[in-house]
Amino acid sequence: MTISVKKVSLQRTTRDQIFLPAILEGLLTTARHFFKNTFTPGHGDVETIRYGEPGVDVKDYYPERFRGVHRLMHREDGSVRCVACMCCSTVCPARCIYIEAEDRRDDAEKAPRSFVIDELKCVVCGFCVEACPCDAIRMDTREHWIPTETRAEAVLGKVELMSRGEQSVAVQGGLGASYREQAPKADPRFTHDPR
Amino acid sequence: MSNHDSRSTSSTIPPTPGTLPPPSVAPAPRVGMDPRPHAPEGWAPPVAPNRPAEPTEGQETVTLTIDGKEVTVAKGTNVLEASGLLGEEVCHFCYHQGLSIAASCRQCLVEIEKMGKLQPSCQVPVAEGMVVHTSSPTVLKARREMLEFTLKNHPIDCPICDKAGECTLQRHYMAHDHQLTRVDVPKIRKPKHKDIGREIVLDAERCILCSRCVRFCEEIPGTAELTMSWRGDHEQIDIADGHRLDNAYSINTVDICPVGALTAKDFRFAIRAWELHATPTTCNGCATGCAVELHTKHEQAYRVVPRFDPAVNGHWMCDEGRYTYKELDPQARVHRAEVDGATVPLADAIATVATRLTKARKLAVVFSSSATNEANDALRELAEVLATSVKGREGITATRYVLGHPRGEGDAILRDADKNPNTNGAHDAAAGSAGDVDKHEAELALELAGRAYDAVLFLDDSGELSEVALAGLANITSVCLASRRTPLSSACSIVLPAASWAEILGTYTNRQGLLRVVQPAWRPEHDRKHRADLLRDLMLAMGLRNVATAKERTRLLADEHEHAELQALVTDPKAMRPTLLRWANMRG
Amino acid sequence: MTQVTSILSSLAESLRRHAGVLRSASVLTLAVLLGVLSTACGEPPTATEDPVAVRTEPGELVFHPDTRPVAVSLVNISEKPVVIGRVRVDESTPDWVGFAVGDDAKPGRLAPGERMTFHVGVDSGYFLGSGDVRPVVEAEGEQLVADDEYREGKARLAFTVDGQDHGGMPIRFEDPSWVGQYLGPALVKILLLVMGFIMPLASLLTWMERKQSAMMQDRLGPNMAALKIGGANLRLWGIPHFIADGVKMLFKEDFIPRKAHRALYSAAPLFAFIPALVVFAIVPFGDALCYDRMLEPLSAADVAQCADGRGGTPLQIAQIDVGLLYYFAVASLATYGTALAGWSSYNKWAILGALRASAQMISYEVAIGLTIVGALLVYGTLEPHALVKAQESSYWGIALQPLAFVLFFTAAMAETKRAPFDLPEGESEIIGYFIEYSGMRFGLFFLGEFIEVIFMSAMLATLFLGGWGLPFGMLGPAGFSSPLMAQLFLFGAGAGLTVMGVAAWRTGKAGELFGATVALVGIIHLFIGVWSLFTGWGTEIPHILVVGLGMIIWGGKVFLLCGVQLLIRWTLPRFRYDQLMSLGWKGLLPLSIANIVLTAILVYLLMPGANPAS
Ligand code: SF4
Ligand code: SF4
Ligand code: SF4
Ligand code: SF4
Ligand code: FES
Repeated sequence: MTISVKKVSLQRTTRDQIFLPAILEGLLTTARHFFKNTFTPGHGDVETIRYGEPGVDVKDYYPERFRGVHRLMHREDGSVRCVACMCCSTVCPARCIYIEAEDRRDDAEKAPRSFVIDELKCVVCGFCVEACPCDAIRMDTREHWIPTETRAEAVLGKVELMSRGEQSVAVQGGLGASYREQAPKADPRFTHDPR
Repeated sequence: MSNHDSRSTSSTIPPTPGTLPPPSVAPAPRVGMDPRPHAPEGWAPPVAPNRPAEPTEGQETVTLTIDGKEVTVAKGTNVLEASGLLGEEVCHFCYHQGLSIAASCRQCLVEIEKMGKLQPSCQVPVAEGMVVHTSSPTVLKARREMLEFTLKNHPIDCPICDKAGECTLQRHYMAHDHQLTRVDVPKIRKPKHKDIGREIVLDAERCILCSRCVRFCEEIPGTAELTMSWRGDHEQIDIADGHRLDNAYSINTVDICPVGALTAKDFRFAIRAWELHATPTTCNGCATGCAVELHTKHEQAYRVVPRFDPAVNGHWMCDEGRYTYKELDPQARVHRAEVDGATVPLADAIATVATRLTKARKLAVVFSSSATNEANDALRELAEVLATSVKGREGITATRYVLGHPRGEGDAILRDADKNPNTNGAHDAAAGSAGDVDKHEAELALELAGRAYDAVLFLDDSGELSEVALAGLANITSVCLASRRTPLSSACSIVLPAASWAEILGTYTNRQGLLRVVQPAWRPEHDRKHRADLLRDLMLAMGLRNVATAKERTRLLADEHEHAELQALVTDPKAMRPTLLRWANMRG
Repeated sequence: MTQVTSILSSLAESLRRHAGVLRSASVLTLAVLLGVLSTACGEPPTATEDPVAVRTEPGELVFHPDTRPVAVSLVNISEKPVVIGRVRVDESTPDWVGFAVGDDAKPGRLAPGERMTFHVGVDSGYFLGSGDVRPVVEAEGEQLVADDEYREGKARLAFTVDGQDHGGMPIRFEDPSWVGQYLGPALVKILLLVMGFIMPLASLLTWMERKQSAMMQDRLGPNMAALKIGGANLRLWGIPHFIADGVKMLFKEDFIPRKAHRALYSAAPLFAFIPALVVFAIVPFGDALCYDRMLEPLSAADVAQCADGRGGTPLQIAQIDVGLLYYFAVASLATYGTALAGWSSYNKWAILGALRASAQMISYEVAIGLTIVGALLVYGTLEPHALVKAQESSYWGIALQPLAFVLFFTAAMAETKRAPFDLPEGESEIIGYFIEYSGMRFGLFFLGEFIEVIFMSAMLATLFLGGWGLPFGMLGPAGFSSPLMAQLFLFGAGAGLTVMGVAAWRTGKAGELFGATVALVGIIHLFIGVWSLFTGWGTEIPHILVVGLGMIIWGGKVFLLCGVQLLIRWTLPRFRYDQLMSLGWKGLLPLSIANIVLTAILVYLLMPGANPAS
């Protein structure tokens, strides 16, 4: 592939070349906004939500898909839903998720031994939620990360993350709550699993 | 790393404790025996039964057309191999260059003109004038439908599957299928996480029944522990009743399994494949010197996998060799020089060693059969330097030994009973101009116990010496160039921090006399240095000039052996950069 | 139409809501008006009677030792012609010997409104002390005068009007000390200008910039900082933010990069800040202040005499003949501030910013210098005070030099290094020469930039907008040029202020008090306007009022120009560096040269006296 330069010649009228008329037009536009917003009660076109004014609750204005502090979801038995697949830590642009995997020694096989998110490093992009194949991590807490006095307080471990969590019934593949559970358990005739 | 979970302080996942191989057999008496390893009589590398497509000189050739391009290949090869010459091979599961052909997966179907049906390209030998289409609409459709079929009962466990990231099924799905499932009936359940051997866990649901593992066990170790049981939907891989997959090469099945049906216990859940960096290097496990890749992340090694080398190991390696990475345990590393138990700057330690060695009356130098040729060569040079008289000092001839790991089990496939990678090189260096080593390792222990020397220099930390011998080291000038803490290095009064085999560029001479290359997976941290460079520092401290660096010694060796690959590595250090497995797509 | 009705109805609504405020406001207004009217009516304009029918200009003549002969006028302010007798120094006054009336003072007839001008000189040697104690024949007693000192002296210029002896003109000779003449007034003026105007305005600009940009961009801007006085929580549209900023800057960590050149790093902000302040020395912010007769209406000659330093002081810190050259000399020093800041920070972005700044400032200084040459040709002076006076007597610079105005404005914005010329700062890419600065050191750069903005506005006002004056010479040293002008001004300003006040009032909250005050001031203006309609008031205003009005007008112009600069800064996007350079060298420079050539030709052709051939 070669890089080529495409030259686009600008069609400039004399008016364009003088600049001043266009500049004046621009100034007029901004000045119009200035006067309208300054002298209209309620500040004219200003749409800013007055967070911090008495009587304004921030959470009333949160959009539905607001991303807040992370949480880890639970399985039916209350254990962590995460399977330590590392998708989130891999996709995380801030590299702020640290996971160590362990063998659960049950049918779910794999779980995080430790799951740590450094909320100070997090850029709240939500990629981790997008990447998670298991609906294990969510950011729907509607909680802003609140500044802490020490950095260590902003580093959330598995327990803190799970304390915000609740049971999730989402199913991989999206075919309903329990299509794998409806399936006949492995026929004992076909298996001789020493465990 | 304070960023970690408060309940766990280590930053990386320690490898799941796998079951180590059974303790090796007691060392055979060595005195009077030829210490150099030799390949068994009539041994040949276990290379591919399927001939590579590229014709070698003097071979009969066949010319055929694949996707409109003419290609000339060796006669007797198959269409799949031939397609590889034109770029990517036809997508496949069950075919493996190193195994016999089963043609069971039907993923490699191609259209061949004048043949009525689609043909499995792995099974069709090339013929003169053949016209093959590998991506006609029919072929693409067949490929896609075969994939869908394969995936019908596949559990899609990717989040907990150790193969994810290097899975052939994943890759083919992304490349050729890429559609939502149309299955709306319950999937067939089969045993998951079934413990089928010392090293291996089986997940029968993930198996795609390619039979590679079965063929491997039959053809390479010849033990045939695996078999297909049941039929139809319920067909699954299993071990024959009363058997376990316990052969000495069993982890190869994990490598060749295109999916995550067979997983190694040692690597299970340790890390995701895509986080690893791969460094091509040589196995340290025995005198065979298999070509391997060392997989690492953040200066920690996670596994060793075989690398194709037709001259030595073909596609395989033994299970024992895979555990050599445990030697690189970060907890046991020696980072700084120690003199009489106190940590000192490296330069000071070197100066101390230089004074004490030159003052010694009775001196022994111990070459190491697990150290590189460069290090052994440097030690030879040092011994010669010490032997020369200079003004103010009389030369002292050191007694030369070769020490290494004790002998173990060997077989006629790959494993050698000599568990050292460089016995040949060490002996070559130790023999020097004199023609042979002065004494053998069995004598060393005796002599150390008897306090025969007032100074000993060990080139490496490996080697088993008796307790009495080790106790004898405490009161004399005993120097060890150690990369980790072993009984030997802990017993020595002076420890110099040496870089491990994962941190250096170096060479071994294997039992076939071939030069084997180890490459750095990461840079040596702290004061650790290549052994040859440590010895060079020592010689410089003794007042010598113009001592060769480790790199210069490697360059000399490369030139001597006309080893083009090594020459390239020495001149271009960038060629040694580990590659991130994330971009390697698949293994198996 | 609907908008008007809605505004009216909301006006009515707020009137209803604020009936209390309104009532007290109107009572207050009435009280003030009654007061003004009663004082004014108590002293009805008297018919001019002899011999007051002739007015002397100036009212009192003041001489210093090095004063050249001074032009003095007699003006017939009555409705009939008068005959002036011989003009002489009254021999009965103690020091009549020291003064002399020039030959150009000839007795004669003066038509109504006509003026007769002649010169009066001083022989300062007469007042030089002889080393003796010399009795002074005056009630004040004796004066000790050393050999090389001047003593004070008094005399009177006497003449007859229609044969009657006129009160004449007092003459005074004095040799004020250096402190009294220069240092004292200068210090007072510096304090007045810097503490009373520049610093408050610069601080206010830091807030204004954010608030104005917010309003232009449909945002709210700073509005949270509040003054808690007693129980009241005064938010004042966020104005207290600049106090918060100041406190923040003072208490922030003062960071010096490890590899920085410490001495230069510390000195650089001063290099940037001090020239910006020092250059204000030449800016005239009013005409002149006469110490003695502040409450009387003064004539132009009086004020001119004060402007010359005799009996008063010019409202300008330093009246330098080469004022504009001084400006160039000092303003270019600011380049050192930026260049040193960039260099001494040991930071590649800083040095980039510094290089950009230096190149930009040098390039645009050329254009600035050349644009001013046009004004120089037209008005024939480099002294800013004289420039303003010249504009007062002819037309404003913007009318005579429109191109120069645009060019100067553009180059001035580039000199202040603000958008669209903020490449040295380049917030989005290099942060610029002050990237390593924090705390008050950064604050100095920041404040210095705003002071430059104010200075450029002041320069624009001085060079092109008639300084402290109103257009068409509406406001002269004595007062408005005619009752009509006074009424125009009063009605205009009154209407404007009232509208603004009402608008501000309608925004509610803190706006109500502020708006009501402004509207009240506006209404007072309107009332005075009405009063002027009936009495013809406005041509003779107490001196102090004229001076105050001039300073307010000057301040208003500077403030508005600052506002315009902010408006531009928040409207236009930043140039690319090559565009900046090509605008400077290929746009402004040729245009300013063309402006000089054109002006020279026009001056040569049109201006009397400029063409030696005519
Ligand atoms: S929101 Fe983004 S930055 Fe934060 S943890 Fe998730 S992936 Fe990482
Ligand atoms: S992506 Fe989901 S399942 Fe995977 S490690 Fe992250 S939270 Fe756990
Ligand atoms: S074998 Fe491959 S496709 Fe199947 S679960 Fe494992 S990674 Fe996923
Ligand atoms: S376990 Fe793996 S290698 Fe063996 S048949 Fe199944 S998919 Fe093939
Ligand atoms: S690869 Fe050819 S049939 Fe499996």
